[in-house]
Amino acid sequence: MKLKQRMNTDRIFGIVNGLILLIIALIIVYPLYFVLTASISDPVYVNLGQTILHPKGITFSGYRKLVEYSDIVKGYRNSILYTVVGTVVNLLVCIPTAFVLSRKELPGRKWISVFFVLTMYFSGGVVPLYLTIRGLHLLNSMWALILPGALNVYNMIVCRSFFNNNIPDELFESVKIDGGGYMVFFTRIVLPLSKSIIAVMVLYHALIHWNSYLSALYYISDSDKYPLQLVLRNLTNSLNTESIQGAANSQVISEMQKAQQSVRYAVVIASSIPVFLVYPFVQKHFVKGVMIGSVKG
Amino acid sequence: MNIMTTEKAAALKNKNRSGLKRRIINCMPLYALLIPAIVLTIMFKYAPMYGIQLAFKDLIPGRSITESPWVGLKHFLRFFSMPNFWHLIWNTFKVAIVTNLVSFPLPIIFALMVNQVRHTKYKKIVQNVSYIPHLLSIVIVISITSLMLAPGTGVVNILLKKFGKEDILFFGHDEYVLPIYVLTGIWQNMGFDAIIYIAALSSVDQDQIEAAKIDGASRLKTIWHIELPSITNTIIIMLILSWGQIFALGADKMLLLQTPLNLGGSEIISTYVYKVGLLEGQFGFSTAVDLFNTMVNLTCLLIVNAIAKKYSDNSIF
Repeated sequence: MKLKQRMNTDRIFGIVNGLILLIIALIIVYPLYFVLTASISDPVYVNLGQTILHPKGITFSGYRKLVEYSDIVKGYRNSILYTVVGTVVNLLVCIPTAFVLSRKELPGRKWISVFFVLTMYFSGGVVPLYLTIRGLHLLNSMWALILPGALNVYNMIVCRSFFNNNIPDELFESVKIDGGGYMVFFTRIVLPLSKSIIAVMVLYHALIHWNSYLSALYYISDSDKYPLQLVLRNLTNSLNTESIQGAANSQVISEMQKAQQSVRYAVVIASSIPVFLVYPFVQKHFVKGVMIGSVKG
Repeated sequence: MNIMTTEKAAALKNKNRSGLKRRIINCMPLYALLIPAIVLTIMFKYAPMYGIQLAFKDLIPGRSITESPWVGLKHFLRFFSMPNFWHLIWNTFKVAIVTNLVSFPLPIIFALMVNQVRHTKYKKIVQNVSYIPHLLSIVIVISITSLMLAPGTGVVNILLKKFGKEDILFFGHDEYVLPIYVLTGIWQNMGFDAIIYIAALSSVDQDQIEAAKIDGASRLKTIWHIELPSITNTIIIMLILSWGQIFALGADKMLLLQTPLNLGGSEIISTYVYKVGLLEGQFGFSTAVDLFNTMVNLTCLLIVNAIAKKYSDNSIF
């Protein structure tokens, strides 16, 4: 009797729990859904607030206008370039460093680690870094966005933990017996065994580059070189400021602003598309990265 | 016997020393691989640290940092006596602490809930949905927020109107900055931050749970007495990490939320440093403000680390 009762309360618990999670999932998805429906609906209905549940008067005019917006197209192109070059540089720096620091026989290994890890907790700050970059004549150059963060210490540690836990020492012994050195070991054995961590690293670094805007705001003043996120930031900032001014002047939003607004919905979707396209493929790696990182090496 | 051992030790030490030399030579290829990382770190991390002395100097245009004259604590004194000094500190602390307090427990609760789901597919779907926002850039997140909160067209104001309320200018008032900051943070990171707890929960001893069930424990009881204690270590580590970085509040998100009308709530140290440093060019003064923030953060990190070391087996270093 008692057991039965308990099983009942357990079942109710399970159902309530499942329902709450469903609601949470819907809340997480809804903002994206809201922007998506607004982006493909007629701006008239959007402004009347009739698209909050489903699209109405489907049109792609927002997207068409987007293509006409040369800033956005340029931003898109710049972001792709910065992401590809930046990620390649990240990998070239991160993976060898992680490999070296995973070798326990390396004299001074601990001090070299401290040398890198220290920079996670203490930095020169905004202005000294700005002056350094200016001193190197890198202002307004793509390298200002890539080189300062070329070594992401956190990601390097994740990568090192992977090497520590997945590359047995015997492998190096056998390479040595065959007359090979570290370079042979690294390129022929370690790298082929590390495809999964390399995928994680590509994902993490590419996301950082694709999503960042702050360093471009700091170091890039030539608008032809703006990455997409900075273009988008300027659009959003002007929306917020405009809506304040619009409300201050009158409750009516001008026609021009309305037209601009439809572009804004489209641009949010368009700039997230690359991320969503790769998401299904990398989702697994994404989680794996967290797990490797959590096993402190 | 004693002599023997000292002799042996000396011999061993000698051998070790020549062994060290050999080991260094053997490891030359490894050191070579480190060169790019070391050069970049010196150039972009340690060289700027040299520039911190700007906090105690007045940079003369056309002269280098080294050549510029020392001014002592002038910049710090100016900062401390600024009329909005306490305001800036209060804003920064408020944002940092409220964000941390509110957003820390949620991923844990979410992970415990997800872990309760028996239906594997449903569990997967919920989880996969939950980390989608983490992939989006902060610019996109705030863009979406501002579209949803826009007066007249945003869903929030549409709903307010349905209930007979007036439009709210969410980006025009100080008091909305913190809620927007915290809620968008939760939306973006809760699912992702839960991954680590879900992973920790997957290693909980299932036999123990079965045994508890047979003994008549309800599911809430098994969560409280078995599952939660089993992830306590992970929770402590995450707690240390988050409190250790609490005042390293970046400018990126706040700059996006900032409008001329909500500065009273949205001006924090990092946004202020950007403004006076890079926009107004007061290099010395803004370096001082920045250094002050770094020192506060570092102090907090050391305190947290010391406490963690004393009361648990975990610490950052």
